[in-house]
Amino acid sequence: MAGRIKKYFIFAKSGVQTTFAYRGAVFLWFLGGLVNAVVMCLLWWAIYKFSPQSAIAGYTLPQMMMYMILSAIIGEVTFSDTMSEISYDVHEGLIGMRLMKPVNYRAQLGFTAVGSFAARMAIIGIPMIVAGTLLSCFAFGLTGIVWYNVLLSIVAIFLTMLFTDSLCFLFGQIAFKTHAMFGVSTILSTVTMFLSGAMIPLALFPAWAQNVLAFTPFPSIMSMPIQLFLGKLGGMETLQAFGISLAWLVFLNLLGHALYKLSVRHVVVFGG
Amino acid sequence: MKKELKLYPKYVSMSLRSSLSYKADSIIMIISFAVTEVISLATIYLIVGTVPSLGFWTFESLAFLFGFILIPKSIDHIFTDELWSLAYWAIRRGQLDVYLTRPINPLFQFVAKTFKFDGCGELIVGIVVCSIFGPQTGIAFTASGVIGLIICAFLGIFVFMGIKLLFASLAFWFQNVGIFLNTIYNLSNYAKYPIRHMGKAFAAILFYVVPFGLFLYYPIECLISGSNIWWAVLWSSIAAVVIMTLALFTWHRGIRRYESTGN
Repeated sequence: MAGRIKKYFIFAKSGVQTTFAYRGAVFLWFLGGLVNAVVMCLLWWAIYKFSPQSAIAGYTLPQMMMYMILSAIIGEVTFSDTMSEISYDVHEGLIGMRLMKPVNYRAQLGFTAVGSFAARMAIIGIPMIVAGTLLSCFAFGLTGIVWYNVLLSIVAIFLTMLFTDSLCFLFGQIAFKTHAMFGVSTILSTVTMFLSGAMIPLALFPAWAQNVLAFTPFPSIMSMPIQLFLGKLGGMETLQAFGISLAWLVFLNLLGHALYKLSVRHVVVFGG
Repeated sequence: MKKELKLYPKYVSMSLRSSLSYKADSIIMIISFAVTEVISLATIYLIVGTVPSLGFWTFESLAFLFGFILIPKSIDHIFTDELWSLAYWAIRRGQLDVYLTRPINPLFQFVAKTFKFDGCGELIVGIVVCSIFGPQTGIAFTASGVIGLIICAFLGIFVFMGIKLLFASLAFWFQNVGIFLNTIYNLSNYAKYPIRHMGKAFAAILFYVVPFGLFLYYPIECLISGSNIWWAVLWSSIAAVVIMTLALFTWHRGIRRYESTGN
């Protein structure tokens, strides 16, 4: 068993190395996300100026700003290449070679994503979370940040990465049917961002929408780690939230596995 | 010029036929653009819904602004999408060689190659949103206001085109400038917010540095606040002329130093 898992660490290592090799690009993409976060902070700053209350949907302005910054950082570190990998493998016919090797395709992609995540965390994740928190606490007057919540939220961000990767694998199966993966991945990422609370806190959604969303995996993806970070979840709630996340992850992966089994049955490869 | 005009419909039909051979792909792309825009509008709705008012902006007027921006943006998208490939890979792969061997303007050939009718999704969303929210904004639409707005949208197409061409042409010097162009282009997304209230520095950047605020946001602000929209028209035309000139100049300088990488 240990030996079987050990071979996948090679993929994790390659994920780390690839990401480090392209650290410039990672940084540039993050810069785009950061600009977006700054503009959202300005927009919220304008909104709070016109607001009669000091808290909107339970968030004070410093909390809202930290929310936007964290969302940008998490979005960047949990980025997964899995969908474009699948579409590349399918459309270039490499999938045939993948299927011949004694390596589980899903695990290979998953471990590569974990490696890439570790590298992104080191390059931008940790430094930016520290810088963003210090900025929010000292410049904007953010309060209520506790060290154990910060550490727990980093675990939660790891789960977010697994979520992104699992969704990419699940919807990546569409690559077996169409070439338009740019469209599919745009739809997936936009819808996921909106429903998971990456664009705005879910507390701003109408009550009915929040109730419906509670029965989906979306809140676990972005809303949960940020709320945890901001200290909005109690001890019991945190435990519950982690339980729900893990359950959804297992479900999404089982579903992805089943669909993958169906898709590879139809694969036809010309040459290799 | 006459030759180009005669050729353009042929290019369009070629591009349409090649994309129609992958019908499902085009449909997915149209849906993805429409979904992105609808979600973006819903986000504005939820954010603005938290306060009674935002100065002279209401959700209805912001929605009208949102729809208005989509019109020049999507028209530019339909006609000049090929410029993205210049920014990302056309130079590295030596794809410009073929255009330099034919007796037609290379820029025309390059841009005409792709007619992206997927952009119609955005155009339709833009027009629908404008017609739904236009009457609810409380703007008194006069003939002069409407004409001014149409001119601004028309000039906007050229500003979008110019900004894309200008920054994509930098690829002649730096090979892959895709991420850079992407960042600049995405600044246009911020013109849909009430820029005026979001700090002087931010407004100054969107008005004078990358003028997306000037030809997208400013005309609507003029209509809502009751200022003279022809100021917006004047500034937009200056922006369009300056940017198009810079862009064409950069393209010509670039294509002169272009060396094939073999292909």
